[in-house]
Amino acid sequence: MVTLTIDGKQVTVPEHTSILDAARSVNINIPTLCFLRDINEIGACRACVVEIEGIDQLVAACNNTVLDGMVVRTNSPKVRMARKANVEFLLSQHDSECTSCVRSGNCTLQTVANDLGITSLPYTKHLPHQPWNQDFPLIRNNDKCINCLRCIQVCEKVQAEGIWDLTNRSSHTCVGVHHPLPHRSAPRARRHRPRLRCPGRPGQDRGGTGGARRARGLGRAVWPSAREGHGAAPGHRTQGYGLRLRV
Amino acid sequence: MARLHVMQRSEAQAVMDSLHEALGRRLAVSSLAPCPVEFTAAYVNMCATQSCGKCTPCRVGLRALSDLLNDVLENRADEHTLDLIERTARTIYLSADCAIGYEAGDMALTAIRGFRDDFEHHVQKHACGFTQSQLVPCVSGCPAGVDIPGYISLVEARRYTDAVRLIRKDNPLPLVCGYVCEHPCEMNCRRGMVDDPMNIRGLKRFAVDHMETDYRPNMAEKTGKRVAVVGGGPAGLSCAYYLSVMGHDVTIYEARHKLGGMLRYGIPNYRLPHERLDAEIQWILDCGIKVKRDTKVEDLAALRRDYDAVYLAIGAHLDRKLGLPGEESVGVLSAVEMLRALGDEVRPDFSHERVCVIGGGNVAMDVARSAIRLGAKKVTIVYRRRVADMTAQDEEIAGAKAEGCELLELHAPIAIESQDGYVTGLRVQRQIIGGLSRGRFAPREADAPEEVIPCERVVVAIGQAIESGPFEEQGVPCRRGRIDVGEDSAVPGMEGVFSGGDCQSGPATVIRAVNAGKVAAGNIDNYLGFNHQVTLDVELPPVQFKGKTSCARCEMTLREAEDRKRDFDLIENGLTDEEAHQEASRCLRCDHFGFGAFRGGRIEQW
Ligand SMILES: Cc1cc2nc3c(=O)[nH]c(=O)nc-3n(C[C@H](O)[C@H](O)[C@H](O)COP(=O)(O)OP(=O)(O)OC[C@H]3O[C@@H](n4cnc5c(N)ncnc54)[C@H](O)[C@@H]3O)c2cc1C
Ligand code: SF4
Ligand code: SF4
Ligand code: SF4
Ligand code: FES
Repeated sequence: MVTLTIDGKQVTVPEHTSILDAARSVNINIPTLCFLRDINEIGACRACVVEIEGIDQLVAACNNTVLDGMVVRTNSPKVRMARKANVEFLLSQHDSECTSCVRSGNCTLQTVANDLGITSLPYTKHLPHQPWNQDFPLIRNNDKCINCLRCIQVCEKVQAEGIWDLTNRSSHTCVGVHHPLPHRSAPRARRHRPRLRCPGRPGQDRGGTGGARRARGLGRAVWPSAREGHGAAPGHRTQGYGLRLRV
Repeated sequence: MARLHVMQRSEAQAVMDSLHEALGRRLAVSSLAPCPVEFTAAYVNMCATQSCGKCTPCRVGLRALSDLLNDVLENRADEHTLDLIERTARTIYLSADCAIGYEAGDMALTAIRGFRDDFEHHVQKHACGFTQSQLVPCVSGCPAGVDIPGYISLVEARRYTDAVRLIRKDNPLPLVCGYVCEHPCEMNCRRGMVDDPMNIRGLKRFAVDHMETDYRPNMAEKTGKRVAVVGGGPAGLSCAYYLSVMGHDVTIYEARHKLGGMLRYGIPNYRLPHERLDAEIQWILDCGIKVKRDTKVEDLAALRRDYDAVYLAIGAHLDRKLGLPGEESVGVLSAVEMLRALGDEVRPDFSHERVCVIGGGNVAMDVARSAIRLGAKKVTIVYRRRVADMTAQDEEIAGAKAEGCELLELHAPIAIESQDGYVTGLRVQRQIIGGLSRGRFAPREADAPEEVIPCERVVVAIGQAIESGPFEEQGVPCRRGRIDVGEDSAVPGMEGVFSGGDCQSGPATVIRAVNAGKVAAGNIDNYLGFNHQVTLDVELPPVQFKGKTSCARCEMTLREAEDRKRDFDLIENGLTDEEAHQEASRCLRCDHFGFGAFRGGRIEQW
């Protein structure tokens, strides 16, 4: 067992526990966006950063483990500043049209932004405006994607398909397929859609299969899905996504 | 598909590598000073290209930071922008997942904090507060502002005497500099962007070694004013030369028997042969300069009474002590003492001796290489940091090694062992290198036992101090031992007294001392009520457009180590005629092409 202090509270947890879990064990909530247990523990979004005494820089709570005697602060001014700026960074590349987003009210990004008191966005907006074949039965809207990279990991680790990947690099990194998807691989691509909860909400999912949709005049599914949560029954609309349900 | 693949370098990778190399070369040439804000923006963008894109602060934050920096440049920023820039950079530093991100954030923070004034100037005045004063890159890098493209073109035209004449407009010691200048100009040379910087020192030496005829400078009419110069090193000699061509009557007071200062009593003969040095000094003295040798100036006020102005250029000649037990033993010598003897052609016999040299600077290398030449059985250079941290120039370190000196890095001396008052060894403590401290990587004591390096002689080369005490007592302001004068070289509170060179800057370089002497001469001339101009008196060949060519730099060669280490004769071979002309033809003539064309590529007179 390892004993440490988090926000002044003494915590004793088993070795190899993440800082995130250790904090949760004493009801200290650290916001997360990209974390998906066992599947996506990659420290991408940096919403979960915390301060460790003696180290100037901050560390991701979701994929770093506790050490004996560690003194952690999850809500110091430094932490709040960096967290807020990071979420503002994400929002600068997110099409925050909440009024026309089906996910509004059921969106971790929205919640985290609200909790951090983000009321205005200081950074210039850059949306990727990636063209997408509108005839394709599945729609990706990268203007909503926050690059948490969960979808890629689920595709690779859960469904073992490896279709989705990072396209572009560095500042222009985004999720896509390296080669244009032929129409007939649509079912494969779509298989990934329902199995993860995408916090970025890149589009609307009206559910159903291609044929059924077309019959209903809906035409196509929009991916990544907001409706079907990890572990939830297909077609069942989840009350959110990501970690909030997991824990 | 095969299970594994042999690593191969793709064509794209080769192109990428060559672009990286070109970028490195470009950055190494610190030619025209960029706008700090624009440079920071470009730096951030460059860093962003290296991001893997995984984490938010690096992937998005760097781009956001770049937007804000552009807001500053494009006059969209207000006072809140600067705070936002700082907070953005700080977030990237604090929370990026790996060094690609957090180092970029940290560098941006350094820039933003360090250039705060420039940022504010942009925000408030909508303009860059940074003035562009660097006309020709190499000339800006030379403390004395020697007209480098001018004399290179003269070398190319095989007009060597004219080349030397042109150099002497700004530097009366072309020979000395051709042999030992540290050539800061080459670091700025724009040719470095294409392939390698020009071998500027090599061309200067070539011109000096191949003058067709001698000449005498034009002397101004006698003014009847008398100036005393205290110290016959490069600062004193330069000041004396320009003052006398301006028509003043100059007397140099020199404490030692011969002139030259550290050029003679520091730099060993094998790098700067004494008879060549003497010839250059004599050429200067032939302008009618009087010399009082073996005359140490002690009473400044008396001297000032006898002359219309005084220039103090006493250099840095006091040896620094280690402060270690055993330092008084027989066999312990300071670098200054040892090199002083060599300067007077006294060559002690070190044969059968093992010598430890303490220090890692150029002086330590000169001492160690001299010890080898004096016949030492073994020479060990003991340094408490790493070889990579030595302040000595790489060529000097390589030269010392080639001549058989042992480099013992990461060993700090802690005591000098002796028996019956004679040195028997140097007790050292192994060190381990650590992190940055005041800009340098600092060593600390390693967990290892002390060792003793057996030796019969220890030479201490850990820097020189300035003998400013006596002058301070007479009212010359000093700060940490250095004579504290303003940019105009005038000693505050002492009318008609000027000072410069090593005694003002601390131990530095020949060309900085030359610059100090030149500046003082100009200001003393004005103080005496004149405004003589030192002018360009050679006509330069016309500039030719050559287009981009590829041609690497010719280096000077050294005599073979086995051979050269046995004597004190000159070790460096000058460029051959073929090399010198190829080298001269590489110059990009930045006085004519580029910004030089706009403001005029040369200072015709000063
Ligand atoms: C070993 C060594 C190697 C070096 N190698 C190089 C090199 O390769 N390249 C380079 O650029 N620089 C080199 N330098 C540095 C360079 O030599 C000095 O920076 C330069 O000589 C300083 O010039 P200066 O005129 O200010 O002082 P100095 O050259 O030190 O001259 C000062 C003169 O004043 C005299 N003096 C002092 N007090 C009095 C007094 N009270 N009355 C009368 N006279 C007095 C001294 O005797 C001396 O002659 C080297 C220095 C040393 C020690
Ligand atoms: S599409 Fe969704 S799950 Fe995939 S990276 Fe973007 S935000 Fe994350
Ligand atoms: S900081 Fe490192 S991990 Fe994060 S995006 Fe940059 S390169 Fe990738
Ligand atoms: S190319 Fe010639 S003029 Fe240009 S910086 Fe180099 S030496 Fe000077
Ligand atoms: S970095 Fe920890 S949740 Fe995203």
